[in-house]
Amino acid sequence: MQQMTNTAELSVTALAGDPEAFRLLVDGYRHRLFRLAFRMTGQTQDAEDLVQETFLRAYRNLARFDARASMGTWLYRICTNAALDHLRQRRPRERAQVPIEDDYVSATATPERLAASGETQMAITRALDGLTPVERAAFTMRHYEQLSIAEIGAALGLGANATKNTIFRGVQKLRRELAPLQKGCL
Amino acid sequence: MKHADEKALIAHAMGLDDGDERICDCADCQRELAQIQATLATLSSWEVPEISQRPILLPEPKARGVRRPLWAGVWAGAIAAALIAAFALGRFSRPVAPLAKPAATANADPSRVLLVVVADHLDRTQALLVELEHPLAAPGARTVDLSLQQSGARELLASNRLYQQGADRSGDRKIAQLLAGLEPILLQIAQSPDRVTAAEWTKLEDRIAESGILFQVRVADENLQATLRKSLLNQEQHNQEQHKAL
Repeated sequence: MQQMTNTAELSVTALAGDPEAFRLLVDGYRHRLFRLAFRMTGQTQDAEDLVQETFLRAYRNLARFDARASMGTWLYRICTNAALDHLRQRRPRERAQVPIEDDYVSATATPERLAASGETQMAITRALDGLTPVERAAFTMRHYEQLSIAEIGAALGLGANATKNTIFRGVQKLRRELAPLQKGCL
Repeated sequence: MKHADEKALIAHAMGLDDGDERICDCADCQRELAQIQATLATLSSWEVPEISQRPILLPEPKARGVRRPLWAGVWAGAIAAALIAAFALGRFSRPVAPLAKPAATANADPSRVLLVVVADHLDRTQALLVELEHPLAAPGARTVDLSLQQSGARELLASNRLYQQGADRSGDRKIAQLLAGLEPILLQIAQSPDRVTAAEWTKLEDRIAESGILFQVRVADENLQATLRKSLLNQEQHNQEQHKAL
């Protein structure tokens, strides 16, 4: 099992009912899913819960997974759906009040840079909270995770054009929201 | 060359255009492109914290070699005993009018049996969750003993799945949803180490508190008990009416 690092091979073995293979898939994807979930929610605890939920849902529905498809895309889809449910349950006002966590900023930063960085992080969180859950998901998957339009569309259940337009709308909103930060930079 | 609109500039900055499309090189278009790129660079500076070492919990595999869980025997026995008792009550109690439905059949109604066992399950779950607030800790010890709660959670976890399926089949969505929500909590307790540090225990306790599951279990349990009491009362009234008719 140690040498079995190929994701496709692991997926097939996991599908055959080998829990150890699924455990290895978990190890391979948990960091990536955490990044996605964190950028979707802005909260460490929520992101960790979403990763747990993703693997639990995936494990329960393993029989539905098509072995010819990509395990990564499938897990992203499950995680995105879980995050969308989570964001929809969170009221807009609540979203805007998400506190900035201490671990956003590097411990080696100077007080001035720390303050500036803290402000930037806060502005980013606020700007992302201004997006709809689907816009946020589409933007996150494209900008941070570098997924293709086809993969994002598959995860969100959108066509290629709708996916692109969702990303465009998201970026337009982010530009407006972050414009004050850009003044003086250019 | 035609000026680029905002969409085209965003597509270019995000690598969503065909790649060989050229963007107008006038000062206005280039300035706007630079602004979009700066916005995206700012967004890229958002740091993601490290994921904790919290293990990912998964249900125990149902694969071969898994020992038969304790609950299976206990509950199968309990349900069988309830059915036998119900049958015996009907067999030896006073005969009723031939066309009337015997009490034994009513008592053995599978949905009623499910209600009884689920109510008991919720009672035991409540007890477990409350017990977690008072784990065994020797004075001055650095760790707390969760082994009792852990084994209790394992038994409950197995029966939880069984009852969830039963509730699903009988169309009781509320109970099925509650049991589905209970599963990850039971799983976390079942898979926690025998002994945990005070900090780990607090984290577990916090998660349970945040989920609000104890409150939901209490409410559902009370509702179930009320339904059962009402059903019992109706049954008694029905029996009395039958006796009067005789």
